Amino acid sequence: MSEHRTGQAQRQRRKTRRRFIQSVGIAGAAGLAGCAGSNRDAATGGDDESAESDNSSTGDTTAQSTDSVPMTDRTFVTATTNVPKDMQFNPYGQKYPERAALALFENLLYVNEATSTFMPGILESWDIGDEMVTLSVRDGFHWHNGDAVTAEDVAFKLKLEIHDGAAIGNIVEAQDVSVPDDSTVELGLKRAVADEVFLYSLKPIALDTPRSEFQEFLDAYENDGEAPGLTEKTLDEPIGTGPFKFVHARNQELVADKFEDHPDAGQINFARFNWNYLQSNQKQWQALRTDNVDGLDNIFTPENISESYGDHVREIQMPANWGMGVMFNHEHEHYSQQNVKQAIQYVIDREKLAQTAGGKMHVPVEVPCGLPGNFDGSYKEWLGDSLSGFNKYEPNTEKAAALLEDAGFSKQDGTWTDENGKTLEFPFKIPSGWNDWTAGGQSIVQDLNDFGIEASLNPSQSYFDDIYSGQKYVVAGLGWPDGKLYPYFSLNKLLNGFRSTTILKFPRSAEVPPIGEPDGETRTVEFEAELEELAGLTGDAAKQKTQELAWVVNQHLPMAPLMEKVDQAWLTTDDWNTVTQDDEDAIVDWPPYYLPREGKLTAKPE
Amino acid sequence: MRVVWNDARARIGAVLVLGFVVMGVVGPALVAEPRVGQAPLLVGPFQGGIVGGRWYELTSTSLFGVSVPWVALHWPLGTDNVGRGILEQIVHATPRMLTMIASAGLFVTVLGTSIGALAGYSGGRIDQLLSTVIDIVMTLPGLPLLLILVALLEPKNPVVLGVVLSLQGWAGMARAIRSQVLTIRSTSYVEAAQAMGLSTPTIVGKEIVPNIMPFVMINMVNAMRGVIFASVGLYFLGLLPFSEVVNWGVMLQLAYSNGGLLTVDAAHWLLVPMVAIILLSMGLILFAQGMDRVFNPRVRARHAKTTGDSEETESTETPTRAVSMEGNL
Repeated sequence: MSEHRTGQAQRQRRKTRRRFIQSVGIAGAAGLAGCAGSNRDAATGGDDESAESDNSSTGDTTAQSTDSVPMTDRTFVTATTNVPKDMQFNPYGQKYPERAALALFENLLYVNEATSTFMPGILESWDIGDEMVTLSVRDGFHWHNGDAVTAEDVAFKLKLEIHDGAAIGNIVEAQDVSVPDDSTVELGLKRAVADEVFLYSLKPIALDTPRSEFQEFLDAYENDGEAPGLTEKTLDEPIGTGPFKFVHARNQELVADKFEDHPDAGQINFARFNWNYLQSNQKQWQALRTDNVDGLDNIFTPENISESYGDHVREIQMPANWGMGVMFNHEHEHYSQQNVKQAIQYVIDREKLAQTAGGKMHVPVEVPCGLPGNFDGSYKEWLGDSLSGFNKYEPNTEKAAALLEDAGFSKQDGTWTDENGKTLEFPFKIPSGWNDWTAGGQSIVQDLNDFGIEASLNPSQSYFDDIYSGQKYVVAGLGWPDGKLYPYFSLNKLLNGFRSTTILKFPRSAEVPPIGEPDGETRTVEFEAELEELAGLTGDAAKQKTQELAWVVNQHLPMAPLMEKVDQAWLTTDDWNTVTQDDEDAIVDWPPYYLPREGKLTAKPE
Repeated sequence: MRVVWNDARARIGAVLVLGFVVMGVVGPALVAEPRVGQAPLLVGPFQGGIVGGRWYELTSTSLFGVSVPWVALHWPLGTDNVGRGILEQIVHATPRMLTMIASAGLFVTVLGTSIGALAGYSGGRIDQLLSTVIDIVMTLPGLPLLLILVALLEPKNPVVLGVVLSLQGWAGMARAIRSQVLTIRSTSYVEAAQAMGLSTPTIVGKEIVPNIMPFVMINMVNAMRGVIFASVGLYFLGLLPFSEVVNWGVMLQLAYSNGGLLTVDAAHWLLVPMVAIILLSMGLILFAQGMDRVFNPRVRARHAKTTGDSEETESTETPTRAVSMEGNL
């Protein structure tokens, strides 16, 4: 349920980005050292091609060469938390069903989130150079109205995304998107970028905007610089590009039939995809327990519930590169103070918190520095030798008390109050219905209350409205990393992106001492420039810059990073052949949608 | 007191209410404070069996320097998903529940009775004015108003919460009391009292209030019950903020949202607060019905007669027995 909302956040971010970019102007020369990556990249692109053909042989025994699976009449039933009837298949509007869309539309590429391996989607291969990126479109894709998918369609979508303020717009200008032939798109780069930065910026993009419906908006962007009608555009019926074609959306169900003109159609041996409207976690757990669904894309499930499932229910755990952190509203008189934020980070016992929220699904953040990778310790590679200089914020109420006293707070009747006699409160707002966070939130609130901060837990049903429109919060829980292992994205989110500027209201620059010397001479870090620089760096230079920016997060704590979680996807094996989480294709968002494309989720004969 | 005690309903009701009061007053001192991570997660109730289980342990404790045998309890009713004891949560939420209930009951009763009685007894302009106010309050849409108030005030103090949740309750009661007083005011015995020149406070106190008391009691109890359900409902829907388990509704909400309905090992977490809510509201209702006998003059008169009778039989019985004993000799 939680991941679902990050998509919403992303859309919000895009909208704001658009404005943001206009004000930034064009930063021409930034990347200096990113040259070395290009050839390796060409190789990666090539590898992906062969990886794709390898898939059928690397899959486990239940897989599946193209013609070995006899067709069945089965329907794969899963759940959606969006009311199907209200779904809108305009990706720029509200109520776009992020997850169901993965079956109806084809993404440009897919990512294994455990290893950051990129896999082909609409794009068959890519070649990333210093000044130019060449994308090859895979043959055989069709729109659901029968038209073939061409490079023009991809270019059209990319231009629309750039104009709409997507992340790719930071790297490519709309006028630098060109189509030399039917299967090639060329992008001129503003500056050199790391491969991961470029490819991840393509990740959220699906081919979901047929030119027949959306041409007017691109025209509007090109002529007037804005397309105000785009968010309100409605489509009666989506024209998709994915392996399943929309049939109908009613109050309780969304139905899509297999689309034969999809290049992977041969891998799919079931006729239908069906989404039941199951709005809460409880309903989805119940549905899986009673065999009313065949799989769920991603839902937090406590151990006592998962143990009650039958043996035929298979869990696929995926690193989320995402987890709970505390957002501080930097316009608040208390939480704009570095000392107060550091004190909070010292007081919260992250180990206990992760245990309370569900020990197997959460790990505590070891070093709060804005880098994900606490499950496998991969953040340590990025920090290298500088790791020892970072503050680990091990629970220590004495240090916290000293920090607060330094900031002019004093403890009166067991409660911390500031110089003006105002109590230090911690009204912790979280989205209602997120079970793991509600449990964890109680642990946080208890730690803070014991310490003398007036803390309360407010699970809110209007959470996302409150946070995104108007920033009505003092402290709130939301994911601190960006869902990607590559550190640039999380650092950008915390120090420079929409989250930082608009929601946290974090300053645009900060005074930072040298790594490991909190009392040393400070230098001014301008976040925007430094993150733009990081985007273009590779190798040791990227590592160096990552450490510097992670140190800023470690000292200034735009958010307090607390935990990282694993996502839990569920598939049933009584009627379905499928793979385990050891298969690398299983760790792609999300198994019920990606595995069928690879022939790794097939129906058993009836 | 005996009048009350003779009635089975009142007896059960009184025991239940008294039990909750004792639990609220001394319970928190006896039972450990519920804390996150104090015990293993989702332990079942009476772990290891009711007899010989691991949930209790015979130890000794020192009381005024003397060692006395003692029973130490280890999460007798099990724990929740963050390792807090269920019994511990129930007990520690009780004082707040009782405070909230009492403040709501008091608020509704005092305001409802005084405004209703004043309107009914004085009549005329005052009656018209007060009735209008009552009508307005009654016709305000209750639930939306409540949701808005709760969102605005975010009440954490149980007294405030009790008053907010029963903000509209007094109007219905005042309306009913007014009509009761109107009827009683024109009865012959009130007119007689007026004719005798008794003062208004005396008439209200001696003639009118006793007659409406059962009515007041049952209304008060209804208001209390209402506020239990309202608070539980609002906590259950997640509309009220909480920092710890302050209300049995919080427990229900957490239990439900963590699959209390789905698996047996979380069922106790859902059932225990439910039972507590049922017992308390049942206790209140039974008690109020029993109190009917105390206040209702006619029932009281009949009771006084029967109790008098029984005393007589007892006294006549003794000599008889003495006689028969003599016979035996």
